[in-house]
Amino acid sequence: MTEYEQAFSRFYRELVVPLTAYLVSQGASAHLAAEIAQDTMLKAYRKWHEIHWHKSWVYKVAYQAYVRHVTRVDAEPFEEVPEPTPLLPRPDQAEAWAQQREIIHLLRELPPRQQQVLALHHDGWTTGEIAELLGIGNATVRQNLHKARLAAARYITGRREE
Amino acid sequence: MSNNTATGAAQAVDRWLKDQYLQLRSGLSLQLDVDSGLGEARSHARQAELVHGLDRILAPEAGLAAILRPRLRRMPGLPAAVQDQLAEHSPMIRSLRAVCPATRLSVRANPDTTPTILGILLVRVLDLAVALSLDHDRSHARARDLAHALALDLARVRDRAVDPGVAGAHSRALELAHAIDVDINFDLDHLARDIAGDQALTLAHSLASGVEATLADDLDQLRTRDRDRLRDLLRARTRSRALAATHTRAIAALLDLTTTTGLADALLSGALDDFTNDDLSEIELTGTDLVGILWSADGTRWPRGTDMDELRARSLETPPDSGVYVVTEPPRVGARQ
Repeated sequence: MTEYEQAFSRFYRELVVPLTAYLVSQGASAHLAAEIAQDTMLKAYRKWHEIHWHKSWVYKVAYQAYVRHVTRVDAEPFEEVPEPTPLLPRPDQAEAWAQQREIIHLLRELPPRQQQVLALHHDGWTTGEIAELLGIGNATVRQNLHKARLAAARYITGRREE
Repeated sequence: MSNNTATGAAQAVDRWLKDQYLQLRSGLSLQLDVDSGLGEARSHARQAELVHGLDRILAPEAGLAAILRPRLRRMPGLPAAVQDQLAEHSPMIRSLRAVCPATRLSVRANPDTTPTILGILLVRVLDLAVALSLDHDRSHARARDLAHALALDLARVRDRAVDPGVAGAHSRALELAHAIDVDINFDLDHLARDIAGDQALTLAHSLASGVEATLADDLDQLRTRDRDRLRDLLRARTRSRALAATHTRAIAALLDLTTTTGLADALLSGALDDFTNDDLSEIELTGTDLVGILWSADGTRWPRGTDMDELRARSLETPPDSGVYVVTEPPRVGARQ
């Protein structure tokens, strides 16, 4: 295995799960998230030497692919039946599991920007890194994080009262 | 005391969120087969390297474009039905997508291209002016449909720097469509229809300026003439059709096409401007006018040394967060901020 292949393999093993989780937290189904994450990784592998910051690149490209998919699907009401893929061998089981996560229910109630900031924050990104990735200011990141936390507090309180 | 309570509550929320995200990630890691995924990614890439080596023999880009191009990037502002029609069902769009990017760039810059597009629009405005000049309700309803279709056509070309006058023409077409709607909905008298007719002629004149100067002059004179206006309008329309057809045939020849069927609509839909999946890395772009082209962050390959920061700075992402950009006019040197 060449040095380049080794570097990519390390990168893939480290990031394919968080990247998929990031897309799921933005509203993608487990199957779609895994498909976009895999496709983005493939693109990163092909353009490895042209990319400067690989982690930022895959997060950005994967999110853009997800946005494009959502835009396209709006006009096409028929969802494809998820097929098993090497990365996600049991898509139905994964989706059923993901839909039981409380965090998914909370995130659905947040605006897209707050979803992004919250997910990236808990993924270990600093405020500055999030700001650079999303092309917004540090203050905007903090503001969105604050609002998302307030929404989470309300969600937890509401859940306890049920 | 209350500060401590608030801090404690905030920490509890953070702990809950952290725990939830950890569960999401660890649960997903059990669902995902990372080794199989990695193996697939690497074997795909090796396959791609092999295919890349066959480029010169098989011309895979053209074949790939013919397959992928039906999934035309969506143009903002177009109804889904029109998008689908353009994207999925136009053999001409598929043919244009298969033309190599260097040829498409060169045809965009050809002097026949702008008059072709403006000529097609001009014919449609004159269809509208004729319908407004006919004195019966059916022609009025047809004028309404034509006005809306025209506004849509102008919206399709407005953002692609086809001609500086198109943005103004688009807003005039919208006003005209609105005026006809009001006229029909409120059953106004003939005066309203005459005003709409004048608006259509103003619009036709501005578009004709980009096609042929003498035709623009004739249309200008028509605005002040009441007698035989319909006859003169029909003549102007016939002449515009002939001009548009001549320009369209010239473009078809440049693109090595055997037919012009569907070419007008394909040009209006921006089939020459979409480079979102193209490899431009081997093309000499110095001096090439890129204003109006669509490119994508993950699909377009640029020549080595391209200043991506500068390119991104002069491009608009459309729709936001899609990774698809349209190149806009560079800022004028010495322009005031």
